[in-house]
Amino acid sequence: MKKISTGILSLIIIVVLTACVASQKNIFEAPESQAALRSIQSRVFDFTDRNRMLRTVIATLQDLGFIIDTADETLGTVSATKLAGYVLRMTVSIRPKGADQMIVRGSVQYNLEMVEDPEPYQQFFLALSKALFLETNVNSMAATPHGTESPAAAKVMKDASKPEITEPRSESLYPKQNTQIHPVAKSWTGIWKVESTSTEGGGIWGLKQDVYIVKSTKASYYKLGGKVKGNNRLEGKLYTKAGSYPFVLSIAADGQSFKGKMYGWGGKTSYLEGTKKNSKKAASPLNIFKPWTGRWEVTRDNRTATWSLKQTDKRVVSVENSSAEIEGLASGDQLEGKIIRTNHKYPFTVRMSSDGLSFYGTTMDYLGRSMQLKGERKE
Amino acid sequence: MRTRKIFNIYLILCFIVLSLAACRTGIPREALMLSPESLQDRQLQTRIFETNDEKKLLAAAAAVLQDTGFTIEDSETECGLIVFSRVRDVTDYRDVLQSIALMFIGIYHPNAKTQKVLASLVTKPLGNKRVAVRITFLHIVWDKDNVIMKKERLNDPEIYDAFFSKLSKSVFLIAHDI
Repeated sequence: MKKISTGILSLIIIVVLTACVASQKNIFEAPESQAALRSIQSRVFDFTDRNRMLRTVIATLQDLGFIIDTADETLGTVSATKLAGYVLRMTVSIRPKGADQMIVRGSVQYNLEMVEDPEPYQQFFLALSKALFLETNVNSMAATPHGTESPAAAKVMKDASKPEITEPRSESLYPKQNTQIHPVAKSWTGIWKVESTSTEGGGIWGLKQDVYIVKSTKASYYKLGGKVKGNNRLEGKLYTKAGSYPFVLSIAADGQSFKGKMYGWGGKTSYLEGTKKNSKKAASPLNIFKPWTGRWEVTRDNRTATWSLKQTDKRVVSVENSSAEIEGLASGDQLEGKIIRTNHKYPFTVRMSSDGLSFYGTTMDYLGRSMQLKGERKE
Repeated sequence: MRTRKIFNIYLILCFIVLSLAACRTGIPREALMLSPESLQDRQLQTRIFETNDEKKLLAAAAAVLQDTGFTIEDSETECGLIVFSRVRDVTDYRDVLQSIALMFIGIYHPNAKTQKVLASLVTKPLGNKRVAVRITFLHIVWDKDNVIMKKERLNDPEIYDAFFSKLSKSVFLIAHDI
């Protein structure tokens, strides 16, 4: 009896000890496969400005509830801690990849353990890519809340005769856009007359751009699909019955032509050149001084509304038959304003495409979450 | 013999419980997800200053936190970051009395003794002569036996308002070389 129980006891001790062997691992021994973990923890971004990338990483970590412990611009690293009943430590490093990309790698430690589950990393990179999108398209979403500034401090500042640094703004700010080139500003949307050095690819291409995704329209000779990369590149595929051919195109600065190459049948490279054919809509004389005047079909969060806008100088307001009440200020090709509901005003910023037929931008929902706003000219 | 057997079973149970506790894992699903409150948090923690000089703003912020008893732990001006901390005694006599009173009826109620506040301040130029300042505070509280009682972010708007009101004053003083 005694022997049996001792035997069982020692067996259990062995099982238990082997189960916990992870705790005795060498500190340099990477859990799981090193390569697999690295790929889970890394993402490549089309972004080259190291400092801005680092600042965006910091801002993203702050948004996720972390406080920053340390950052090093030279090394390109940021470490942060989140306390929410548990301890989450995260280190993010960035390094350049080629001339126009960057690799961001993050590693997360939950309490005392390395996180190997891909999902938290996916969530982090999702948050980071959102922030990068805003960083390149809408420079600042940092809004100041209403009336939280202490009146005493505000008074001190107002008494001063234009100090170099003034008081924090207490009114809510609209998201500001910077002058960076917006994907929509060089829209791929339109009818293109394409010439090819081979038998494939030549003819009429009808393209429609939806944020980063470009698809062919009914007017197109070919079925096409692609993604906008960077400011002026389109990478995609041309689908024929014989197969699909990848292509890379770059659009000219005026948005009226593109050049590129396609890896055609049998791996032969053919060169493509396209020129934009002005569609009937664009050919109609648009009032370049009052580009926002007109009726727009506006999509926000899968809901569609019709905005009837009237522009006088810089001021843009909605007119009677508009389904939403809008007021805003236009400057250049962008419009900043508010969507007015009974109780709320939702700020928005949109930028018009170069052909004046669509706009794209961001707005906020009632929880303050940023969401996309798209509009297409109806008349 | 019988006690030995019971002892063995007890030992086995202990091992199983301990091993399960030691190997427990699991990061909460929402740990790295943007919460719906993240924008409110950002608004609470951010103010925008009209200046071109990010470094001066950082210096002003450092001065404010130094005035309030914080020490600088780390800084990286190229990314606009300063990390501060402050350790203080938070023993409250009412709390102590309460725990003594509870001890008499056999309830152990630890009272807070030490608090460490950590703050990270980040500046971000927004263009058009505007710089955003975002500060986040968190604190860790220990009881008299050095056991962590709390570790969380500070969300009280008053703390943030007080800091930013001090900062705008400090910025004003620095701008006028007073």
